[in-house]
Amino acid sequence: MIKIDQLVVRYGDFTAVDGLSLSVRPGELFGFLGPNGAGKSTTMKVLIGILRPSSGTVEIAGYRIPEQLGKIKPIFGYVPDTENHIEEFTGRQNLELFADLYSVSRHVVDEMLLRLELDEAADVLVRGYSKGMRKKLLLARELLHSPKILYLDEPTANLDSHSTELVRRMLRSLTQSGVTVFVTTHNMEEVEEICDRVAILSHGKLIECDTPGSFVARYAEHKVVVRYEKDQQSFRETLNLAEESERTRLAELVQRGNCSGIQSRDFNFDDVFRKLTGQEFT
Amino acid sequence: MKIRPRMIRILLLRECRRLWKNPSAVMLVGLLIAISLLVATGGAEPKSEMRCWVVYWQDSDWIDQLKTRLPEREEIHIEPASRFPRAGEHLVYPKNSCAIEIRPPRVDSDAEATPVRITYRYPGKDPNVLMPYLRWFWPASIHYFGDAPPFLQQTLPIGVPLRRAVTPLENLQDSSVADLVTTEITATALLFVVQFFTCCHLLVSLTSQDRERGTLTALALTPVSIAEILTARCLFHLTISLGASSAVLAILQPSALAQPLLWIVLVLTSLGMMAIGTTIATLCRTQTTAGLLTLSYMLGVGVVFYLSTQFPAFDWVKLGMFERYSLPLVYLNLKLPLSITRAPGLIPLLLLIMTWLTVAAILFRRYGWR
Repeated sequence: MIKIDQLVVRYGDFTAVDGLSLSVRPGELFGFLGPNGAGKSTTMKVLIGILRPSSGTVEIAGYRIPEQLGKIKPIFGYVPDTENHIEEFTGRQNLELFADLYSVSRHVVDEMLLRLELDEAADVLVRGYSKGMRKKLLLARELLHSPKILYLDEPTANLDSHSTELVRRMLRSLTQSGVTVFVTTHNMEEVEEICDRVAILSHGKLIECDTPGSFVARYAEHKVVVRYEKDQQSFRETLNLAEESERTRLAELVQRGNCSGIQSRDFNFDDVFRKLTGQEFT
Repeated sequence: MKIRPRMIRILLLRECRRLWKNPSAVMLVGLLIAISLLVATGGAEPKSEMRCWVVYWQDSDWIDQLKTRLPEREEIHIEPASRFPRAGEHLVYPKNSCAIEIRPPRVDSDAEATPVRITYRYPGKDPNVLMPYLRWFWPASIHYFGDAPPFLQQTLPIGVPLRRAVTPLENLQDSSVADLVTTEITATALLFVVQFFTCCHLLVSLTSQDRERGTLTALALTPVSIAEILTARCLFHLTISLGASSAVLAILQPSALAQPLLWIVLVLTSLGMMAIGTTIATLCRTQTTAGLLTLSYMLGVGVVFYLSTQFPAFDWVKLGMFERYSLPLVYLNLKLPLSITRAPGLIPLLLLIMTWLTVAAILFRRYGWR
């Protein structure tokens, strides 16, 4: 559905995206991750056709971007990280405008307001909405025309736990109905929970692309924190069980009988992300 | 480039709703119309017993035609010069009278006839009392002679000896500032302000706000094309501009509403203002910068116009500004009806507007909506 080949985007001398290649399958919930300044937003801008790449090709549903942007406009939706509503309009008026532009009937507007639990605030001016409501209104707007591809930039930022769950369920049900979802987020728990595949980007380059489970399996570090006492003093040591010498050290401490506690450290996707992007805390 | 009327209608509706929710913009348009009303009320000719005598020395078909086209509202009498008593070289008119004296062409020694000599005579110190009669006399003469009546004319108080007569355009160009401050110059200035506000300032304000909020990008990512966004914006601002201009004209000079050339110039100027506004909104990242640049543009026009009166080099700068052509054209059209074929500066105005529109459309397409 989305095919990126050797994408390069330069701003003057600075290369924001450097030879990125990846493909996203139809109906996939694809996570696009990277630390700040990794080139995620730049890539997203190229995908939605508002930024021209310096080189490389991008194909969405068989159409080249940005040359054939007009052809794919009706089949994609884009939820930006900053909301862009018409502040003078109510939530309903905002949705009605976009429904008209997509030639969607007005009852879809009511349906969408209901699905995203915005029906009670539908006739309130958007400037009176909370950040979470604004975010949900954005999602509602971009789902009006039943897009085949949905780009989301931080979809659950500023949402409370209930709304976050609501959005995650909605995204899952969308992918089950064949919609391709391309999402960027900094919420690693979310990535682990909802993404089918994940691409990690750093300094404009693709580091790896795989499922979250595979990432964890491949990069998980089996470490334990051991607390022990010696010469009436307390000590704390982190040992990597993947290393033979450290396994021997742990056995030695246990045999001596002066261990006051052993705690295993969970290694999740967030740790993988930090490790791969060089953001580990020492 | 596809333009679908349905999309234009939706976008126009959106702009109207947005303007309606923006009371300051609506209030400012209302204020401009209120100013026109005040000007019109303040400058209204007092109802008096004023009469106008059209005096001729030689009968002709033209005089006959003038007699058939007399207006109903004004008291105008067409009489031969022999009917009036003389005091030396001058004719003596009854009290509360003004006059349009039509002297026959002089025949030179080489038998070449000079144009008809017209003298507009007014009582006291206010030549404006002639205006209601000139609004009848000029169109009636143009109807007979065509676009450029072969006149040499001058405006003098009653009883003052004749001076060298000049052509109508020379008369306009040679007028003193006091002569120029008339309803026409006020209307020209107000129309310019209306067009600047509705087509440049308001457009910059709304477009920059859209850009800053990202609404423009959101709209552009729907099936609407950039051409449709631009067309809708153009129609929206043009409608407001022409609506407000009509109100100003209806209040200040209703007769001008029927002049096709004036409307052509107003439409062209509005388009030019929109092109400038679109360019400014495209090049500036924030609404504040765009607003400041718009005001600087307005000031810049004024400064260049002033400097051109002091330094001839600025005349060259003025050649590239469409205001150099549109302002005199509006003024001349309000003063006397011109035809499209004889409008001075219409072609350069058209070319400049086309250039600006092309530049604005290219810039907006590349950068403006992102």
